[in-house]
Amino acid sequence: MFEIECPYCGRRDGSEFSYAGEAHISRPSGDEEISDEAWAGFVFMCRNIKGVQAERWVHSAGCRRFFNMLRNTATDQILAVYKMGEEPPEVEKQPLPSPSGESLGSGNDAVQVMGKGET
Amino acid sequence: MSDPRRKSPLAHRKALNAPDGAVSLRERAFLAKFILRVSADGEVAEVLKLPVMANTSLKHNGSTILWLGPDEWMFMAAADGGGEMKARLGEFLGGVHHQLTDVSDHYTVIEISGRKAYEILMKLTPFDLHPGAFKIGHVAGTMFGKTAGLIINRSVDMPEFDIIVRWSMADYLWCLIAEAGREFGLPAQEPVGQVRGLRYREAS
Repeated sequence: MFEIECPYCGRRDGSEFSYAGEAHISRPSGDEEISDEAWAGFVFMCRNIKGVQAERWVHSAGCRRFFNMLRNTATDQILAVYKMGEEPPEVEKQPLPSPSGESLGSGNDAVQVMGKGET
Repeated sequence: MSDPRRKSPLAHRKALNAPDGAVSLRERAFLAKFILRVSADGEVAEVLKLPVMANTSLKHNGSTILWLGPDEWMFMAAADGGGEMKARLGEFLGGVHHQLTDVSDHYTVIEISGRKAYEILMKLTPFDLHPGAFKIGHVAGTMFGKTAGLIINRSVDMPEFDIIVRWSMADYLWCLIAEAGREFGLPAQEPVGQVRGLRYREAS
């Protein structure tokens, strides 16, 4: 459970919102001539990075408006919320290191991947 | 109400009252409701007295205007005031790019009032209903249990709220509120689906 700042309604509970995919990807133009490859790339090949990602969200239970968000997918930290059509604002990417030096929010501790040479 | 054959989604329910006036629940059926989508720029907002501030409402000419989104408002009036309201809006909106939809039969309104109304609604929604945050006349779209609803704070002396809910979810929300109010004396309500035979078979 977390709260999200809707650019129209203000701060609301996360359960009122729905995730709506990656932001700032443009639909390929040329409806009929477009190749399967280009279309599949648009529909399926989304970035899924661990870190700060630009996403579209929709306030589905409230004003039902789409907006963009910069969210750290590892920590769920929301760095910025901005309206559709706007450029993503500059944000300071905070690494949030843990005492051991590994970045936080790496998921289930039991399945952490060991680096090369680690025992 | 124009046609006596009209049946509201909660016609099979009677208004509920808890002892000592702790909480009351009733349906405000057949209110006329219109959703207007129009750009708030220009003089339309001023002429129609649209509340442009987020999550607020205004009363004007016997109708209540609710903010739903930056370019979306709901007009509510008494059951027999729909035609007049539509004609009046049409008069103002001639020549303006807009969309006006009659949603009178898409939504119904459940009114919950009484000094325990806060406590009951707090169990059902993640929205902050504290009077300091959700002031009189304010409007918010949020979740109530599994259903989306639009809540309006109509309190005067006592807490009083209207919840605008979709027709098909009205019975669910009614039963949910009654269940949440049982500790204050509201009688339990059996959901319609169970009455019609969807009840799980008891283990023999």
